[in-house]
Amino acid sequence: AIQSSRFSCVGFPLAYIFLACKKKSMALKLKSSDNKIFEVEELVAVQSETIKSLVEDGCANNVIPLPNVDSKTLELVLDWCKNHVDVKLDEEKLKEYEDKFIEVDLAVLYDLLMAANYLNIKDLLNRASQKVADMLKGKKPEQIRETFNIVNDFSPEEEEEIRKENLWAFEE
Amino acid sequence: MEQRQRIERPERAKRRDQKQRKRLSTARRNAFTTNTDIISDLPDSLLSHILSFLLTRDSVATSILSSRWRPLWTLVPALHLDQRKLTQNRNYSFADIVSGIWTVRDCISDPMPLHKLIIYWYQNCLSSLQC
Repeated sequence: AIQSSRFSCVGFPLAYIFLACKKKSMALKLKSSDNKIFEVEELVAVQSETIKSLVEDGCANNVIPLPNVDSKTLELVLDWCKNHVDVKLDEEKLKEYEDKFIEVDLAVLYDLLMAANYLNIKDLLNRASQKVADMLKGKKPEQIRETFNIVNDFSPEEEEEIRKENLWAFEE
Repeated sequence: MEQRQRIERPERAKRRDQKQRKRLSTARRNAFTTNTDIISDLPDSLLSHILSFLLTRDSVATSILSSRWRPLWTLVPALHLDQRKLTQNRNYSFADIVSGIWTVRDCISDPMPLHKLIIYWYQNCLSSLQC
């Protein structure tokens, strides 16, 4: 199996071309939770550490079932992976792509987080987490509850108690 | 005001379970339009990962959102403490805040090991320390 990390080595353009050509023919089949089959290049799929270890263990000859990822999410995730095969190509363009990619509603963001966690795709997990963190940053509790529809299940007394525990975090 | 009345813990847990079971269906897809709270259904590990992108002050402040969020900041494997931001309000000393955080962390039986610790401490506004 070929590790994608090898491609980050500079100074071996020939090896790169050779491996890239060789890899082109290799395709993996992934099956989503709703039984759709996705045929993807190995180079794309091994962005997922989970799939990578399956490939390395020689368990990727048949269809790889992904029971925790539905087809809509898998399509998005694979699109992300395709655009991250060689991250050195154009940093600015990649950032533009990532910013556009992550502009999704909360339900999709939830699916992406769960999928990135399950498939172990670190850059996607971090980008999606960052997106949620940005929505939390610098906001008052009331505003956050409104953004995420979080129901406040504390009594006023309980709320006061929590505030008191860490007053420094709540005062302006 | 009814929503804000005290709900006992087992009942809270039951509610959450019921919500989660529903969540496994396609309900999640419609969640955004039906105004339900989906982000709180993420597992602890993911929520605390999300909080690790915030300043510690902001992650501690999420403890007031709901009972689900209250303990999450203590699981965050990162601390980002900036004296200037924490002590804008002069009622608190930086050392008190930091030792308070450590006390809480010490109380957890199985704390998450820290992956990241950033402390900015400006003594006489001259020296800064970053680990």
